[in-house]
This record gives sequence, C-alpha cells and structure tokens, in this order.
Amino acid sequence: MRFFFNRGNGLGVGTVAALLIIWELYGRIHPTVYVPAFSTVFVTFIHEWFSPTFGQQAVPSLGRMIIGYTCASCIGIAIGIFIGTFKRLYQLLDPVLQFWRAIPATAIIPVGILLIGIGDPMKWVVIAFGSIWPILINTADGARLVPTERLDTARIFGLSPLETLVRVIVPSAAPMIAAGMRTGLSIAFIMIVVSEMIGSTDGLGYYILQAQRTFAIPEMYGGIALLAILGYLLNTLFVWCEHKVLAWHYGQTTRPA
Amino acid sequence: MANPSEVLLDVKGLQKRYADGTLAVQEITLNVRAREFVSIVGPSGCGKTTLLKTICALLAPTKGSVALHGTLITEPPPQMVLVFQDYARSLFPWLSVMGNVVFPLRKRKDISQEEKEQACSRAIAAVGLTKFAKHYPWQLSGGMQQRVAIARAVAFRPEILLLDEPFASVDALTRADLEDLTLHLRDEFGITMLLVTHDIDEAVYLSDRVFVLSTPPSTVLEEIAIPLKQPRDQVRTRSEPGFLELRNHIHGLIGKRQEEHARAFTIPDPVTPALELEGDPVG
Amino acid sequence: MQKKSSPVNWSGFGFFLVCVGIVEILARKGLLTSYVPPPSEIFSALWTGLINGDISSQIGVTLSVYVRGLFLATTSAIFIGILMGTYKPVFDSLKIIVEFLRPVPSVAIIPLAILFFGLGPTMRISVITYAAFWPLLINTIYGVRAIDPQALDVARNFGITGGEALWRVTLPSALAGITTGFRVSATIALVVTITTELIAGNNGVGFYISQMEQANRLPPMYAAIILTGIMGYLLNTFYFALERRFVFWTPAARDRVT
Repeated sequence: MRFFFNRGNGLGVGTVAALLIIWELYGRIHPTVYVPAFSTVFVTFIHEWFSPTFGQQAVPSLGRMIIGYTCASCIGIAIGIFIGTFKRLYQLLDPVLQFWRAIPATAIIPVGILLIGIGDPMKWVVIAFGSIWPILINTADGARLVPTERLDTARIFGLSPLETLVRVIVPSAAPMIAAGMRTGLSIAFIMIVVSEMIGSTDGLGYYILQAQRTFAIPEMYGGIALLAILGYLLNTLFVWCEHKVLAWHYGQTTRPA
Repeated sequence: MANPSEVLLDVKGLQKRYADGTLAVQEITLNVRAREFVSIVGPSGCGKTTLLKTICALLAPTKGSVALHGTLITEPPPQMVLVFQDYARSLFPWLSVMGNVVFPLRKRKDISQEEKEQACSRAIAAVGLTKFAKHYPWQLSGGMQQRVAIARAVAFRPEILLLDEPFASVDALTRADLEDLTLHLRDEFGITMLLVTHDIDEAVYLSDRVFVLSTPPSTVLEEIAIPLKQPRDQVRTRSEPGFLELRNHIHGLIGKRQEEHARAFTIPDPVTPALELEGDPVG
Repeated sequence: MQKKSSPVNWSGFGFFLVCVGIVEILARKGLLTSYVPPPSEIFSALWTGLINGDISSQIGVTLSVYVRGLFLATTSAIFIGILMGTYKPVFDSLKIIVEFLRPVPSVAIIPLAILFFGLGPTMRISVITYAAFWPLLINTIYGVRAIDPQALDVARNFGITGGEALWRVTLPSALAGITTGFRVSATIALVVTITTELIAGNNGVGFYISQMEQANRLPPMYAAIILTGIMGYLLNTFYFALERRFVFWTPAARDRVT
C-alpha cells in the first residue's frame, strides 16, 4: 500500500487514529481484564515478538504452513493440469473431487490426529489437504479453458503433446492457477492456526488459545495482531510475486486485486 | 518452389459428420494450384470453418481425402498453416509480437538461429509491424493483432496458407489494408492462399478462382474463374465491369439457395478435442 | 461452448462407487489402518445417528447458529458495502480498517470471542459473523462500483434520486456482485461454524465430531464429517437455485451448467 498524501487517505488514517485513541481512553478509564488499553497491548506486542518468542512460536507455524502449502501447490497443479487437459479424466474424477472438496478442511483434523498423531507431519498433511482444493480445481479449470484456437495453433505448428503442455497450456492457465494458489494460501494460513489450537504444544494458534486460557490478555491480543500482520504480509508478498510473473496478464485485463 | 500450374492441394469428395450425427460438409471437391489465390464463399453456417479444419487435418474427414503434393494428409503438415478468425484467442498473450512470431520456429532444427531471426524480422516487416516487435498483442488494435497472426504463419514458411474469415473481425478500412497485405504476401513470399469468407466482394477482389458453397450440408455449387486484371487494386478492380458481373452472379447463386432454406440453419462449432486419450479424434 | 455428452455423469459416479467399494474391501480385510472403518459402517452410523437423534439434533444446533451468524453478516455487510461503494468519504474513512482487519483469520478471533462470551452460541455467532462479513463486504463494494453509470443517469432523468435510487437502482444492479459474495460468505460461514464447534463448542456437529474422536467411536465420527460435506453441498445447491430464481439476469446464474 503506497500512501499518497491526499484527502482520501487522510480520512482513513484519521479514522484509525480516532479509534485507537478511543481504545486507549477506554482502557485507561474503565480498566477491565477484557479490554486492556491500546498502549498496554502495543508494549506487550513489542516485548513478546521482538524476542525469542518469535522464533519459538511464530517460526514453527510459518515453517509448517510453508511445507504444507508447497506440497499442496505442487500436487494440486500437477494433477490439475493433468485432469484439465484430458477431459475424459476430468469427467471421471469429478464426483470424487467434489466429494472431498465439500468437506470442510478443519473437520479433517480429528482424523489427522488419529491417523498421524499430534506433531508436525499431521499439520503438514492437514494444511495440504485444506489448501489443495482451490489450487487443483482452479488449475483444472484453467487448463480446460485454454482457447481451442491456441491448441489448434500448437498442432498446426507441429508441437508435441509435451511441448503443448508446457508452452501453451501452462502459460494459458497461469492466471487461474495463481488465483487458486492465492485462495489456497489463505486456507493454509487458517489451517495452521486451527490445527495448532486443537492439537499442538507450540505455534501461534496454541499461543493465542493458551494466552486466553491463562488470562494473559494483552499477550492474546498481541498474538492476534501478529497473526493479522503475518497474514497481510504473506498476501502482499504473494500478490507482488504474482504481478511480476503474470505482468502480461495484468497488462491486458484490469482485474480488481 | 512448385510449378505454377501444378495442383498443390487436392480435396476429393470430402465429407464431415459430427459426433452427434449432424452433417456439416456433404461433399466438397476442389483443388488449389501453386501460387494461386483461391477463395471459398458461402452463406453463414455452411460449415466453412469445419471445412478448413478438415483440410488442415485438425479434424478427420468422415469420407473423402485431402492430398498435398499428391500425398494424403492425416496430420497437420508443416507446409500448411491455418490463420484463425479470432486472433485474440490464437495469439499468446504472454509473448511479445516477436515472441509470438518466432514461437513456431523454436524447435525447427533444420534452420539456424540467424535464419530464424531473419525470417521473423522479414515477416514482421512484411506486415508492417517492425516498430511494434517488442509490444504485446493485447497492446495492439484488432487489425494489428491479425497481422501478427499472419506474420507468425508467414515466418514459418509454409507453402500454403489457409485463412478462416481472417478479416471478419476488423473494421472495413483495416480490412482493405489486410486484403492487399495478403496479395502482397502471395507475391513476395510465393505462398499459395486459400481463403474462406462470407464476403463475396472480398472473394472476387482477391482471388484467381472462387468456389461457391451451398447452404449446409454444403457442396460446391460452382467453380468460378476470376480473370480480372493483376495486380489488383482496391479502386480500379472493384469498378471494373467484370467485377460487378462476377459478384452479382455469386450473389444470385447464394441468395437463391438461402431462400430455399426458409429457416436459418446453424451448425454449432465443433469443440476440438484436446489431446484425447484414445487415438481417434472425435468430431 | 462446451457440449456435454450426457447430462448425468455416469462414468464419474461409477468411478466414485468403485473407489468406495475398494475402500470397503480393503478396510474389511484389515489392510487399512484400524482408524479407517469400512464405508458401510460409516454409512450405517450416519443412518442410525440421523434416525435416533444423536446426529440430527446436532444438525439443528449447527444450523441455528449458522443462520443467525450469516444473517448478521449479510445485513451488515450489504449495508456498509453499499455505503462504502456509493459514498467516497465513507469508503476512504473505513478502507484502512478493512485492509487490516480483513486478513485476520476468523479462527484467531475465537479466543477473543471466548473471552467475551464464554462457550456458547453467542461466541460462535460472533465468530461466524466476523468471518462471513468480509467477502460479502468486498463483493458488495465491487458490485456497487461496477454499476453502469448510465443506469443512475437514467434514474435521475426520471426523478429518482437519493435513498430511493439506492434502493431501486443501486441495489438491484449490485445484486450480481452481492450474490457471488453471499455464496462465498455462506460457504465460509458453514466451515467456521463447524470449526468453532470443533475447537471450543459444547454442542453442534463439529462438537460431535471431536466428542466421537475422543471417545474413539470412529464410524460416527466419520459419519459426522461426511455429513458436514453433505450439508455444505446441499446449502450450496440451495443458494444456486435461489440465485437463478431471483437474480436470473446475471451471467453467473445464466450459464451454470451443473
């Protein structure tokens, strides 16, 4: 987000500032356990997260998420391209895919715990399971919707099936793949938090829930704030990469981000 | 380079029936000689696109044969390139103009890299887009995009170019330019042209011969030689008396048949199968 | 345009049944881990649970919480979304807040909600509302922004301005964006309902799943998991039918093949 110093952003910043001030005043005038003053939360935030706690809690979460998400992306894109290209295969697998996709990924966590126990592998699997669906389905759709003229052109110019796949189908499907990956990223993020809340001894999800249980309220707010920031950064990073790789796509369509 | 009067493309008794049973092309027999400009004209929906795709071996004919230089075609041959009507869908938006034009040549081992670049530059220059070589297709107007598609085809150095209503999606002024461009390309590169169009004036203007198709299921109604003076000129040729005679004749042929078909008969465009698992491409 | 070879996907369903059959055989032979019971047992557990009320009572709880949360989210998101989409000052004031609150995963709000509301339906409803609010808000704003400016000009020509224009021109035009947003929100709402019940519920289908997991009663657990999928599917179909009926002019409702 680039800040232009114009009236529009002034209103936005002003509103945020006003809310923060109200929060601070409320926390000071009516101190309750539930709503500490903004300054308290802010101080705790700096104190907690610019310390080894970050390495102990946040880094494992991010690490697990990245592993699960990467697996989901690789498998999802590979399978997606495959079934998108071979339409008969898509028809065959469609009900099975719809079945698995309909189940909320978080509901799988108890199964994961039973089958794999509480530990990192369970989280990888659960995260992968949750985030693979938008990636796979969007990839399949992208591969399916390659304009026939392009495929015909590839045949006319004598491209082998493999070349057609790599040089025509994948680039054509790339925008949809990216959209699926973006959704998958949000889901991966949610899955790591939930899996750590249900079955974990460390991680951000565990930290936040634990803070609530032990009534370490400023820490709890701080943890939530960190999650928000991490989520925002991840999304921004993803969009930045996407715009670099898919510059050609964004040039031709003005897509609302 | 083939003999001027040698038959390059020989289409005999071609029939195409879709998987759902509809007969798109009943029986088409035509031929194209080397360096000739041949047009196929017909009313809308008479299966012209299907015909071209079948000639190009993108679709397998139900009956009949297509031969190039006397050899039967079963796969799209390298000597033949098809230019689509919808340029936006056939060009690659992730490549620049140069990228698009050089794309088909990438894997050709029989030409050196320099020759490839030369062929591409020459083709891009021939269509007048040298200044836009680094642009992306979507930055160009419709007419310019179609030129990119044509340049891409020309750089591949085919012997014969099939054009599927290539100028239908551009405005009238651009169309005149593109028409002259194809004539120029035929003269400069010696490429034989087979053009499909619903625009009778265009067919008569451009061609040496015109095949008139009937309403679907289509057959060849008549083969008409166009003895108008070469080189063609937009103003002069179109005002020659011979021009009017020929176009009115064709109009009469098609108009009569269209009346006989009281209701519009539309044939859905077949979906080209993408890399089917089984060998036989289905309609 | 894609031509479907047959309206019903026989080969697909056949393949699905074959897979279920294979799992059945493998599970009965004990080749699968003991944690995966045969599908037949799962299915009969589902059936029994539905009939004797174990599961069906929980469905009612889940749906009641779901509907209330979704309703709150929908009304507030459409209201605020239309305001933000129509009046630039409103948009400017709120946009930074939206940008920062939006990426907070709703599950992270759960401890906060527990703090304020304890364990119970209110806690769950608040989380659901929070989660379902954002997609609908964003889509409503886009829907409003995408209105053909000519439509408003025409309305003004006929003397329709202000609040009436909002209700009679803006809202229907934005409906396309709103319905898409609603479907996304509804899906999220169901998932979040189940999740909150899983993590910190004392009743509902999600709670039932975790209860069965802890009691090591596997067929009912799997039955409930599959049930959530079925619920999601049925709700989704229902929303599509609604969309087709009430917003039939939008492209999304028009070329829906399935």
